[in-house]
Amino acid sequence: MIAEARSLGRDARVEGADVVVVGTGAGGGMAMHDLALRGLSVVALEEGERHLPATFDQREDSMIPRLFQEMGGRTTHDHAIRVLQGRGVGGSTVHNTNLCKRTPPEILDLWAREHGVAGAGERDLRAVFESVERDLSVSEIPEASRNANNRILERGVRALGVRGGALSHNRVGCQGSGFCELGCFYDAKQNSAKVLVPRAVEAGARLFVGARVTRVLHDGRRVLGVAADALDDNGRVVSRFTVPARAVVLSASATASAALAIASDLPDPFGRAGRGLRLHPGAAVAGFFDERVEGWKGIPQSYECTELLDFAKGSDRRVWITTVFAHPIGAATNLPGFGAAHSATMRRYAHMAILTAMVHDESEGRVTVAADGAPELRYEMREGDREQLAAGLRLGARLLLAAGAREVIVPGTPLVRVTSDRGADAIVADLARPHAMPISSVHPLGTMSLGDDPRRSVVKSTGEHHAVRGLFVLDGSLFPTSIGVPPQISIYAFARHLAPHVADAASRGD
Amino acid sequence: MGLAALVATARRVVPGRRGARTHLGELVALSEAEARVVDAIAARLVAADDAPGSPPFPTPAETRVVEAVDKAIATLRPSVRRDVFALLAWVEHLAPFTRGHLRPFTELAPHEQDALLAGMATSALGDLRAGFEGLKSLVAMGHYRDPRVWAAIGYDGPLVPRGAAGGR
Repeated sequence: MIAEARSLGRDARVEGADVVVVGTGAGGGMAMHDLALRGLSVVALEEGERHLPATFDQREDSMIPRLFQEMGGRTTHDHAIRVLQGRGVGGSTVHNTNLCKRTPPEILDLWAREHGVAGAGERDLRAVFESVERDLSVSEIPEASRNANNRILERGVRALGVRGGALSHNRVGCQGSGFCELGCFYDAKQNSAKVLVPRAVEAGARLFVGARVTRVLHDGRRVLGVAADALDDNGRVVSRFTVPARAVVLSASATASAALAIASDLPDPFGRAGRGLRLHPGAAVAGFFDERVEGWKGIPQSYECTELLDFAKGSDRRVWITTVFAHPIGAATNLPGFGAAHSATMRRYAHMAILTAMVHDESEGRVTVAADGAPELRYEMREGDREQLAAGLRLGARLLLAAGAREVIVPGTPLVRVTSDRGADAIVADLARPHAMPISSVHPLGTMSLGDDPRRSVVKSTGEHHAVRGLFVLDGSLFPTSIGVPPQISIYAFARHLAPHVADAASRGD
Repeated sequence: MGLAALVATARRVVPGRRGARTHLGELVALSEAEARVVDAIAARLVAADDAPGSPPFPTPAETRVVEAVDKAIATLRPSVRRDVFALLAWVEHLAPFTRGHLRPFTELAPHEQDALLAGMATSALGDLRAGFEGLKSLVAMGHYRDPRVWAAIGYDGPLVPRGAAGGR
């Protein structure tokens, strides 16, 4: 059953739930799916709407407000980093570019060794990763589907003799339209919304959309359920309702799950909730080619350069390079300058190739709660991370030049123009200071981290809150550090890995 | 100057009633005076280049940028909306003064407006740079959604019709 929360009526009480799942992205969708298929009575609450792919019209001005939190305008509190997070059934899996990479074994080892995470080593998770990849139809992106932008990256990698290769994805029936980040009209994404939520509903899960959870109900030792607002189409509160349950799963993302935990006054003697925010901050470098690239066509990301990516602790190679492309509004926003000069640059849009450098970040931010109840993201890149970003952009510039670019730009203040290998040295860490160049994040992580030491973590290795029995976190909040790769497979896998503990808690009912 | 100071300033100079039918369109969030500021900013931010033989860029008036920006502002969180109103008040009333002008932004010559906007874009103050980027983002959203702009940049656009796309 899928219903609008506002149909519940005033002060309703939704009875009969073993488990309430808050959010329906990668973590929430997997939790719904696995718990419902185990026979538990699951109620899932989703703040946004249920998206129908047939209404995805491939236009930025109509899709970005629908698919993204805060209409796509969410930023860190100082507005220095744009943070793109999904909204609605499927969460960020509706707009993401479907990249599928497992959590690096070095990261899992680090969590076991230094963060007290038990039972989540590479061997423990291997079968989980395999089952997730099977359920989501993960496969390597065929070479024939590599678009011109990605071929340019491949050409650059080969010319410089650096490390790179093909990426994997979870698409079936892809038409190569290139509008993935605006939702897939062709419904080719094998994501939470398409694969997991429908199966969960078929197995008996009840999903309420337009339902914003305002508080986790608890007595300080045990979870009791949740309180939520029912919203109208404009996001206005029309009524309130509660869902009592023996177990509650927070899967609202590293920003909203932490904000909800803080707003719910959960016991937190060591002040850990909301801390440890990682963003994988990224920025772009653009190359101009004689030939038309038309980077908006085809699968946006199908090739990577991992030359500067090493997951060992303390590594000085912590930046991942891949392709990125934006439709006109995004491109115009991010290209430098304004007026006639900017319009002239936009004339060359079809001749641009764009790469992004994404930092496997060591900077730690924090989620707090704004006066209006929304998550507030406090994060400042440390010098080391700024240097990593600059190193990634320097290599990106060299890759583009090696692939035949006439000119490369980094849209910072000041604007950096590069036409020679040596010229790339002008790309320095200072460019990554706040507001000097467009920096964005699509992977907020951390904030409710795993670990068996309550002084350093919020939830146990089982995903259950250290102090409140029956309260679980199953989303990207769990990760004690940055993971340096796109996180969807890690989030799906940890939700599947920990879901049996939720089932146990819901069954024991203590 | 922080955003708090901008907000305080804006409260003293908020120009007129918000939401009105004007020559710039039927407004939801902006006052007519604020809409005029957005109109003037848009005219500079997306000014067309001189490219003989290429498809011309439409003007922001033709792409109805003000209406799109107004609609977008109406959907922002109230705290962010207040910041945008404050920023518009700052651009119109205070920024010209800081550059020695005794007239508001909307009455400056185009080259004076450009100098003021360039000053914001490269300001040592992060809030002003963020404010510039925010305005640019809103104007780009209003302008670059238009198929005539797509023709000017060689973008062949979406493969399905605008709005509810219907069955596949």
